[in-house]
Amino acid sequence: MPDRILNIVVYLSLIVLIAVTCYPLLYVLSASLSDGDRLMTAGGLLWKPLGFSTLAYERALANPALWRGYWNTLLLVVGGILLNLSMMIVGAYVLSRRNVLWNKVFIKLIVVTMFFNAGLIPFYLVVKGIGMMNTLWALLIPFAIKTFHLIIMRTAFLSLPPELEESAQIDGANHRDMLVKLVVPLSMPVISVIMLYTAVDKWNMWFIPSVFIQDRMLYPLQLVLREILINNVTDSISIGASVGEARKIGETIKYATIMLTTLPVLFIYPFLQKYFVKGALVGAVKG
Amino acid sequence: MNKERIVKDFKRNKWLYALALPIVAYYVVFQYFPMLGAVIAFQHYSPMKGILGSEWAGLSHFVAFFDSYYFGRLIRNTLYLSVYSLLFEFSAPIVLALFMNEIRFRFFKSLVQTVSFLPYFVSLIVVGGIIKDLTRSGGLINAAYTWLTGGSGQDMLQQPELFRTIYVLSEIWQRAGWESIIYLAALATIPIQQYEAARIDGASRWRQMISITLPGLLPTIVIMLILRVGHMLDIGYEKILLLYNPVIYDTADVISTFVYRKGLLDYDWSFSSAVGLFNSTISLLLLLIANWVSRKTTGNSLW
Amino acid sequence: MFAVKKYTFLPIILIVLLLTAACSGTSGSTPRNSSEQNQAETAQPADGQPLYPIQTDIELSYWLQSPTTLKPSIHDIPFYQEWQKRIGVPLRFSEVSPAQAGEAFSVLLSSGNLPDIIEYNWLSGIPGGPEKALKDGYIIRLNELIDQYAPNLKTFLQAHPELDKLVKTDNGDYYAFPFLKEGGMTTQWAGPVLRKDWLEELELPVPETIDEWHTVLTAFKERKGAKVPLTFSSQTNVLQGFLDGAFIGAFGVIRGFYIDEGKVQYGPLQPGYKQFMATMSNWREEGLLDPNFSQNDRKTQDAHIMTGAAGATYSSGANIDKWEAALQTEDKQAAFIFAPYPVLKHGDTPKFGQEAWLYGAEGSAAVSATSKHAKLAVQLLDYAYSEEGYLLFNYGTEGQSYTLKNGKPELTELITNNPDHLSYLEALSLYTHTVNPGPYVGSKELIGRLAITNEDHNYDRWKTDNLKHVLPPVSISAEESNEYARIMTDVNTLVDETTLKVILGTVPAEEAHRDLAAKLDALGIQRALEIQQAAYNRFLNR
Repeated sequence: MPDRILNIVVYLSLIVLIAVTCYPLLYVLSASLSDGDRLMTAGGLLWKPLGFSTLAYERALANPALWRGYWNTLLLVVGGILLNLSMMIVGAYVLSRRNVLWNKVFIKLIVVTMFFNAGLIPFYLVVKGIGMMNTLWALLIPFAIKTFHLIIMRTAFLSLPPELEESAQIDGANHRDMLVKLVVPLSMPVISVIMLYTAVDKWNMWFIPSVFIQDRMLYPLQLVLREILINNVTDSISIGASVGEARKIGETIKYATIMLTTLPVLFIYPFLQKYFVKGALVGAVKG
Repeated sequence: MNKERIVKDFKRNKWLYALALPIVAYYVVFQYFPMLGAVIAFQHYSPMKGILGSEWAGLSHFVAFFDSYYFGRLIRNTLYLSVYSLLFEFSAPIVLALFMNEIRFRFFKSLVQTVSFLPYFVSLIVVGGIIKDLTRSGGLINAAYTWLTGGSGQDMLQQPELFRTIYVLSEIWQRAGWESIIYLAALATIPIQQYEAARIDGASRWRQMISITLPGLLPTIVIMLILRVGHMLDIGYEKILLLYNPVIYDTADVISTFVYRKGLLDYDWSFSSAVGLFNSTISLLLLLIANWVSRKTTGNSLW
Repeated sequence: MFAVKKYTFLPIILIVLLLTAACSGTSGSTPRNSSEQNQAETAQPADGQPLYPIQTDIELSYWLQSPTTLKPSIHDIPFYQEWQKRIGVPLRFSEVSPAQAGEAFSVLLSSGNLPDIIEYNWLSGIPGGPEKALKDGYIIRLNELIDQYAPNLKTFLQAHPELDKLVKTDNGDYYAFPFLKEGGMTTQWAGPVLRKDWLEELELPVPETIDEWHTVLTAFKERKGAKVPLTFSSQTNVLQGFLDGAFIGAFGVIRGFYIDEGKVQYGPLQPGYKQFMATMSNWREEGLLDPNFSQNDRKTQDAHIMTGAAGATYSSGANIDKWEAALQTEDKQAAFIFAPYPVLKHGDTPKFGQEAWLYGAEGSAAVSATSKHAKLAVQLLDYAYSEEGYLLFNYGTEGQSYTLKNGKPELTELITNNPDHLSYLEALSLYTHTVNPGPYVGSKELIGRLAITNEDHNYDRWKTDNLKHVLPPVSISAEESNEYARIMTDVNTLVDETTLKVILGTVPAEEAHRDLAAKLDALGIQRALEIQQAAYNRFLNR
């Protein structure tokens, strides 16, 4: 295949990719600013809002459940990052030490859990038995380690040059010094990637919270969203709206809520991107 | 492994073992302890009697599952979805990485990268909501599909034959960009001299892609593939739960969604656990087989 | 660096937390409870007649479905605040979203760790029903407790033996504080409805037979430009529009079990079911039936009606009132007219339609077997069946949501013309319990007065022979419940699937029905019929 054809194929398909990726987002944006009635009757492509109305945003922002959801999710993300990283950094450090007799056994037992698990009900019974049900802890502690991440981190720690550690040991460094002054600073790229993974995981959680959390005050954002997007419970948002008005914003309110819950992430992400791409594979590709 | 060695090892590493306590505790409590709980798959579990007091059922739940009217369909759907995902969704990030590697304009390259990662950060609930919306009759995708095929314009999530396509495409949409990171990173490790040598020999870029880039990616691909095979049976049920409905159970109902319905909607906890256990066992077997095959053929292996 | 240092100590903190959580979860609350139990018992007069408010510090846990989404938490709902004040017992509510109630309930049961009071449909919401729930030890038999501590409910049931028969199991066990209805619009509130103005314009009479419906819907489509002349909502079930017997009843069957001359039958096995599927499939093919009827949520139904995409649907009277009011703000002529449940031949009486038993079991409150305060639970639940309780649950608080005029309660403007623009249903859901099922007696008069009734909105038009044909609240015996539940979960999936496939045109009715009957037999439908028949016979002997 001549280079020119290859070029055409490559550029064309990537442009299509960009279009396909961006359009749904543009669609949601346009729909959220549209006039509800016109949106309901129109179908097909949408390049710009049909009419212009920010009513849906006003209503969505006035929805207390949304803010509570944000708060709970924020707690989950921050708590999850602190908890998971501390657990996994320490864990990966131990597992990456050479000359530890039991490490081989540990690793095998740990990897097995990636592919073999007891299933939801037994897991639930344990969490319930501990008494964490219906608290945010139930979404943090039972998920404090993600084995895949732990393995990535361990691989990264293992790939640090052993000479460094040996010389540190000769200088009398204890484990805390080794971890804090050597291993962690040298592995920052991987750690930050795991941090992002963890944050995304916590942000996206919905199935487990739907089982473990029954109290609506503790609903993370995704469950609030599910009520609005999937179950179509928009009554609380259209409070104070007369029937006709409620209908007018019924559909647009969904899109406005999507925008409000997705934009922050999309805004933050490009700033982090460069950093993460660099670090992404230090660990995952077996070095 | 003799006693002396164990004692010596323990003395030398006692602080390390102390540090290991939290993660050991985690794995014992949240991973292995529930496995004991999985005995309910062999019981008629009654919550008020507890695991210790419930009657034994032997293998009857497993037998009931194998005999079940839905057994064949569940296995078929699960395999179809995972094979399609393997063929298309697994290869999409590889192709994407290869293509990105061919771009010479740096601006365009970073644009593609940024844009293709974006969907990964959109939550599943939102993706589910958008898919439902765009595929309902009158929705954008539906309109396009109807225009292309002259179909009836009926809600696409009510047409069993379309579900697998919708599922796989949406997975690609959401994950391909993100998953390509791994391959992009691996690409960076291929020595530049190989390309220079090829250019001197007059090889076209296509030729270089096939005979240098792709082989360079192979170890990574194999590792990703093994991991993937181990998860063949746990296709993303969270997404399916958001999208499916009885009309398309024919193609959309998979083992994990069945486990969910039996356990959480039909209150048949023991039966549900039995099916889940079956699923886990097969997964582990698949992983071991894939790893063994890979070690024999390519020399790459997970451990 | 500072941050990193902190990480190393986190796991330790974590373990401590874990341990404390573990301990408090299992043993923390027990000692407190038992000591306070005595206190409560001594707080009562000796004759067992509770005086409200019961003075106690014991907090009971109470599980229920969110009554409304208008307030973020149930504790902010005026009705629930007032109720707790009146009974004098603090309640700790766990509320679950109604859309997730089934899952949440299953998760709750599987843990074996139950709140004191659980409000749920103990009759059909749980596989195996009340006898199994009692036998498995989730909830307790209430006979003795009601006898001693629930004088109001006891008196009520004694005065209404026909209700007493419904709320018990075959063994004569009471298992819950029931949601009872007084008849009228509390039991019969929904039916087929059409646009009256369209009918008049097209000079068509209100359709009575399936053929007339066909004519009307065709005219709606061709001359009024309705995109989906007949639409349904399917918020809770894919076949929701047909579940109560509308349209399907014309063919002499329903989606589930029913009684024909003393024999229990299963609708989908009957030839009538094939006709039903074939007819609906034709209607869908001709563009008369909304092809998305199984996916529509309430909002979509609203939208179809409000935009004139649909001219007919199946709905509750309250919804119809709401639509009419909203439509008339733009089009003075717009109006709805109730239509009788369709039949095949003129003059036939419709066999099935929406009409509930006076006891439907939804929202009935059972006391869990793990509760340490069963007596207190029974006492507080009994309040609703007193005269005061009746007023509170139906009309709310005097001076706030109602006033007494000539000894009769009248709703205030807070409900009928809410200053926050709430509809009267929404306002009622905040200040009273009326709109939602629960352990109380629903007032016929209240609901009757709230609905708009006139010549067009004539609830009598929706009269059917339903109660002669649908199963009463029978109970499956505990021994048979597992077997029955397993058969029926598979059967239900299969029936829904097949029905939708036929109506949506994936498979022809004839073939699908033959196939369905064979598969149902293989799944054990005959056994399920036997079990139901036995349960029905036992019911007749109560």
